[in-house]
Order: sequence, then structure tokens, then C-alpha cells
Amino acid sequence: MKFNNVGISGWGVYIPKYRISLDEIAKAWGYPSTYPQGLNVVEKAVAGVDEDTITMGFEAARNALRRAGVDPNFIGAVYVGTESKPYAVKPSATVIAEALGITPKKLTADLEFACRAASEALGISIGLVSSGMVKYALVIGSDTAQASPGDVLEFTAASGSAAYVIGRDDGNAAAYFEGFYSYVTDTPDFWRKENAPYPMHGESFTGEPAYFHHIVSAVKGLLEELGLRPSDFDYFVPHQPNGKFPLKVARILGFPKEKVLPGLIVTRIGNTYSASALIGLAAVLEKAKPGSRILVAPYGSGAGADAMSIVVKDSILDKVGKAPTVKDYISRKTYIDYGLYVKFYNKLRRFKF
Amino acid sequence: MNKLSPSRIWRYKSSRYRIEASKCNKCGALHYPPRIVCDKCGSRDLSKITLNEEGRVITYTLIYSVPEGFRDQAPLPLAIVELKSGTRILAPITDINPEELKIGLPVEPILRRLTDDENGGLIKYGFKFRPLIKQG
Amino acid sequence: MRKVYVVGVGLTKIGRHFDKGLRELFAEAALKAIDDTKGVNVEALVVGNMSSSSLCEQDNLGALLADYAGLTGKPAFKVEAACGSGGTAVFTGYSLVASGLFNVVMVGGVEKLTEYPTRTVTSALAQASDAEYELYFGASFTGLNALIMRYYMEKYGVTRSEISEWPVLMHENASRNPYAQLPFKITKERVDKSQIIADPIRLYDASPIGDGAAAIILASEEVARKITDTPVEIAGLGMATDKLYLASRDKLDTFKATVEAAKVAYNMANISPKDVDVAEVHDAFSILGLINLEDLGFVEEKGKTAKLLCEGRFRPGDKPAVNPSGGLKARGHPVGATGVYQVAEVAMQLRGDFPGTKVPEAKVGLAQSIGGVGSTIVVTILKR
Repeated sequence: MKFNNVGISGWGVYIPKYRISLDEIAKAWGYPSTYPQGLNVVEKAVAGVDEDTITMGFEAARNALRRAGVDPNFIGAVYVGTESKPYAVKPSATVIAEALGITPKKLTADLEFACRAASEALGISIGLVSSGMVKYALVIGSDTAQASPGDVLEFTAASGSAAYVIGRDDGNAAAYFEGFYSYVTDTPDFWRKENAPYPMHGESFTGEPAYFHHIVSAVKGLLEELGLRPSDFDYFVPHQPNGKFPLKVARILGFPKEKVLPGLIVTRIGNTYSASALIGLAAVLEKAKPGSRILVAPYGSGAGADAMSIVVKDSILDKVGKAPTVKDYISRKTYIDYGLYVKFYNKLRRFKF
Repeated sequence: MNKLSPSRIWRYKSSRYRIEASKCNKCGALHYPPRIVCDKCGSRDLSKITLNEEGRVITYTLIYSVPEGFRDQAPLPLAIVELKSGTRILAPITDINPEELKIGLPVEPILRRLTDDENGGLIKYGFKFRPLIKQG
Repeated sequence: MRKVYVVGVGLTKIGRHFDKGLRELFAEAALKAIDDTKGVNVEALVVGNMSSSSLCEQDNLGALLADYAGLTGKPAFKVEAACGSGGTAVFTGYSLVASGLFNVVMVGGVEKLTEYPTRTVTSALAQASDAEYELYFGASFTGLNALIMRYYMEKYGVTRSEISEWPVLMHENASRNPYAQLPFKITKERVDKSQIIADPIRLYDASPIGDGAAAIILASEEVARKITDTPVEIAGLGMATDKLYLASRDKLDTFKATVEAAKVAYNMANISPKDVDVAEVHDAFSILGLINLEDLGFVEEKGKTAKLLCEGRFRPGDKPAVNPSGGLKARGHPVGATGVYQVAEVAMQLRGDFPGTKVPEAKVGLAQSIGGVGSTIVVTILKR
């Protein structure tokens, strides 16, 4: 896709402080104790009783605005990509925009494309900024992922949020977009019908025909368009449904493990769905030297993947410390047991009278 | 008991989402909640001002006997926080273990769900305060 | 303005009266008061109540209760100032007689709190605070008072054990009061270890939830002299309000409204705090008992009240004797009625016929009624 001169002015994340270990979940449901190791995830982040997609998205956005250092009134678009909207009908983006004090003259919407929704919003924002239609766009990926109690998905479904302020590639930009490529098909690997409380998934079908096929296709498409090879990149940050798939897709594409590990945050916080690859990107931005080239490949079930090439600039160094980092949020943790977990995620059938 | 209407949530969203206060243009006093008449000098010439600041806990409690809709959050930590501007504000404290609550604790504002909502009702968002995130 | 006298009183026992609603409770107290005056003609009714609307679905309370008390057709209305509704009703009744509009006015108070689960009552009582900025954020009424208790303990170095002296004294006094909800003695240890409601306020710091009704009859001097040998004069009366939003108050260890209302009342009665023989103060929580004695001028040094209490002050025999009825803690606190109970009790002390702990030879009495967290305060001074 062609665009001009678009960069990342600021980024931010938010991860709730509560953690539940996968061993705790395995014990609750009688899974063998070795099951968590197979996923390469140790523990996952759990949203507190007073948190949701909107509250987490707000904090990530506030952090992104701090790093961007731009006048919030110049933000012309606010998008929230999520699959756990607090309201099925009523946009999360308007509440966040209002809380940031930046309504009313904005393009605003919530997007759904499973874990890829915020990434799609990045693509849209690049177009809006490139065309000059908006000066800055705020993109938020936020989820309090839910899974049916006892289902294997419960091991990784986690909560977290990431936000990016997209603007012109000017002196203030921390990094710029070199390319953006999307690959999308109708592939039913993971879905949730209107009234179902929890999603369904195709088990092994979520692998080769879904996650791997789309990420590989998107990345290959981008590399061809830009005339680049894996060795031209310093980091590879794909979507992280667990700690195994990202390493496998890296092998398939020819990226060495060392380029994946810096952005592999799923092992400590679980799968944060729409925020997953974007929190991984933030983790990399917070350590990358100026000049580094990063390949980010979010994936969403249903299905689609994006591949984007991002190059880091000098101005990133001053921005890292302006807000808490991924590392700061990961180190802030309090463990909970399965009982509290069930209470937090409102899985008890309570009668409100 | 908690019968909430859309207009009640909407009318006070700035003061509840963003700690929007009022400032007296005559004597400079800051008021939270926002006022219509300055309580220091009696002037009616007031402007809006957002107090998005850190503060310190000057007194606190842990509410065990919670009002309707707050069972999930019990014991609910509640404090009077003194902001950097000197304005004092009543706020629930979140992301904190009860033992960590103390007078003088530095805290910052964030947006959270205030209460348990009915299945079909509107969600009440508002500010809470929480201990600062350790950076570095 | 003319002088106003208390010429009759009627109280119900405070408790969980599942068999009596608002109208039955009120009629009981009202008829007792009328009988106490040997059948005077009541011309108007003012009734204090907080929760008839939020808990009993009943507005238009004045007309309803006038009818059930045998005062059908008389001018009647409700006044509300949260837990200070009773004191406010006294203030209103006084002005109706003092102004000359009426010669005989009944001031009543009634509250029905025991029909619903605690969380519902907690929510209803929290309406005394700022609905949009305190209750909305989860503050319960006890929670707000707990903020004051912790602040006071920290600032003046007062311990949990020292504060526990207050409820012990209240229960000691109430043990002789036939109207009291909790007429039994307790120990400090029992208070220290009781269930936490809103830290640091424990169950035994807080007034109980109960139903009750009280009525007093106020009359002009001319009528008073005709119908009783023991008229008690309302010699002083003061009322003040303060901002509801607790965090915006200048000070958290004093109620400005008490100080202001008391100043007006003392002035009007031409006395000072040291002249008061008996005082019924509004101790919805132990901490308020301590703060009230300081704000009313009975204790000079702020923060010292608990220590004085532990040294044995304010018992019957001391000046003032504080809360011989047992106070809100042990006599009880049927919210909107309490302020009327207090004036009735002080009047009985001055008449010499209070059926509980007596304060002999009492000539000057004071009653303090508080609405919200010190946001509406009425101070009434009576003289024999």
C-alpha cells in the first residue's frame, strides 16, 4: 500500500496488576501439570473488578499522549479495536475520548476483527494522516479476553491495552512506517455468536490454515513490496496467542529466535488479544536503538494478518521515560487464586435482586 | 436503590471522568465539585479547570459494610486526597492491598468503573486514585 | 418574639418494631404527649423524618400522620435534614409558636428503618451525603465518618482503646432507660473487638438501626402556665449548615456548624457552656461524641475529650452530665426522630421525671442534633 510520511508520535500500554499462574488454572480444572509448559506461558494478567476495555484503553492512551507530547485537540480520529466491548452497542471510543477531554470533532468508532482490530485501525490511520485528512490519529487496542471456564482458552485469555498516536513523520516522530500490507480471507478458526457468552475455536484449525497461513502471507507480501529480507530486520513481533506460535512462525519465515524474544511478552501476561502484538511492539520500542527496523505482524481470527515495517528514529530516546513502560507494568503484580479470578471475571451466576 | 438515568451520568461526566473543577475568576479559589457561586468571595464569575494531578492521601477508610452495588469491591478503600493544587477530593483508592493504605501515600488519578451495574443498565465510569507506578 | 415552652412529651421504645409502621409508631408517641398535657388542643403539627420517601414510599407525611394521631385537618408538614430532621422540626415548631402564628404546636419525629436489608438502609442513609460526588463513588455514611475518626486519631494521638470509653458510658447510662434500644452494659474489650463496619469504626462505635417515634408539645407562655406546673422554656436555639462535600471543608476535626449554631443558642439563652447541667449530644458514632463535646465548648483543648472521659468526666454528677439517656449509641437513633427524643429527654431531666439515669437539680439543658456529616446542626437550650 502506498502512503507518505507517516510515523508514530507516541505509544503507551496498560497491563492490570493482577496475575494468575497457569498452574493454578490447571489445578482448578484437572489439567496435567505439564500443560502450561506446552504453551510456554507462565502467568496471565487479569483485569480487576473495576476495570474493562474502556478503563484500560484510557490509561494506555494517556500514556501514549504523554509520549507524543502533542496538543490533544489536534487528534482527528480515535479508534478502539476490541472484541470485549463493555457495550455491544455504544462506542468505547467516545468514552475514552471524553475522558481524555478531546471530543467532539473527531472520527470515532470501535472496530472488530478479533485480535487484529487495532491493527486495521493503524492501517486506516496511516491513510488518514497520509492524505492530510487528520493531523493525528489515536489507535487503541484493548481487551479483557474471556474464555469458557475449563476450556483450554482459559489458560491464555488475558487483559491488556496498547495505544499509538499516529502522525506525520516529522521531528517529533519516534519511528516511521516504511510499509503496510494486509492479507484477509474468510477463515472460521475462532468466533463468538451474538448471544454466546464465550467464543468457540477450531483447536488445531487455528494453526496452519489460520494463524500461520495469514501471517506468512502478509509478511511475504510486505517483504516483496519493499524489496526486503528477514535479515534486514532487527526485530520480529507477531501476534502472540501463546508462547509457541510466534517462535514457530518466526522459524517458518526465517527470523532467528533472538529477534523475537525482546517482543515476546505473552509468557508473562498471556494473550491480550487486540493489544497483543502492539504491547510487544511497545516493549521493543522501549529498548530499540535509533535506526532499528521492526517487523510487526498482528493476526486476527476470521481471519487476517497485517505486516508493517517500522523504523526507529533518534527522538525515541527522550520519549521512553515519559510514561510507565511495558517492563514497569509487568513488574507491578499481585497474584490471585482461582476463586478471586472467578469473582473478577464475573463467572459466578449471581442473582441481582 | 441505584436508579440511574442517562442524563445524570451524562450531565456530570466532565467532573467525574476528568476531575473538572471550577475556578473563581475574581479570587482564584479552586472548587471541587464545581460550584455556581464561589464560597470564598461570593462571585458568580467562575470558569472550568481540569485538575488532572497527583496527590497524597490525608485520611482513609476501608468500607466493609458497602452500599448497594459495591459488594464486588468490598472492603472498599476510600480516601480524602489532597491534590498538588491544594484542592481536596473524595476518591476510592484502587489497585492497592489494604495493608498498603497509609496517610501520606502518593497517588494518581485514573478512570475506572465505579460500581456494579445492572445487566441492562449504563456503566458508571469515574475517577479513582491509585499508588504511582514505579518507573525505571 | 414570644417565649416558647415544652409542656408535654411522649416517646416510644426504640427497637425493631416489625408490628408497627410509620403511622402506628407516630400515633403512639403523639397520643402519649397529648396525655402528658392532660389533653391540650394541638393547633399544628411539624414532623421530622428522613426516609419515609426512600424506604417507605410515603411522601405527604404531615397530613398522613396528623390524621392518624387524631389531628385530622390541622396544618401539618414534614421537615427533613437527614439525621438532623428532629432538631430541625423543633426549630420549626419553635418558630411557629414564637411568631404568634400558633399557640400550641406538636413537634414529632418518626423513623422506620427495619423493613429492608442492611445494604438498602445503608444506601438510604448515605443520601445525607452528596449524592453525585460522595454516594456515587461508593461512600457510605459510616465510611465518611470513618475518614474523620482516622484523621482525629492520627492528629491527636488518640487510641482505639481510649475512644471505646464512649460507648461504654453510653451503655451504662442506657441500662436504666426504659425507652432505650440497647439497655445493657458493655466492656471496652467488647467494643475493641467488635465487627469492623468501615475501618476504624466498629459495630460498637455506631448507633444501631431501629424504629421509633417521639413527640413534644410546644406552647406559648400563656397556655403553658395554664396547663402545667413544670413548663420548660426553650431559652436558646441556633441552627447552621455547612458544605455537604466533606473533602471541601476547611477542617476535618471540627464541625463549624456546631460551633456556629451553639454560639447563637448560647447567646440567645444568655449562658455559656459551663452553665449547662445536662447535655444530649448527637453521637451517631463514638468519634462524633468526642468532637461534639469540643465543638459545644465543654472541652477546651481539642483532642483531649477521650482522655477526660477515661479520667471519669461527663458522668451523672459532672457538669455537664452527657447523654444520660444513653445517647444515639445505646438509647438509639431512629434518625429523623432522634432530635425530638433529645429535647424530650432534656425537658424531662429539667422537670425531674426522666425515667432513666437522672441528673438531679438540672436547671439548664442542651440538645444537639446533626444532619449529614455535620452539614445541618441544631442546638437547643432549655431552662427550667
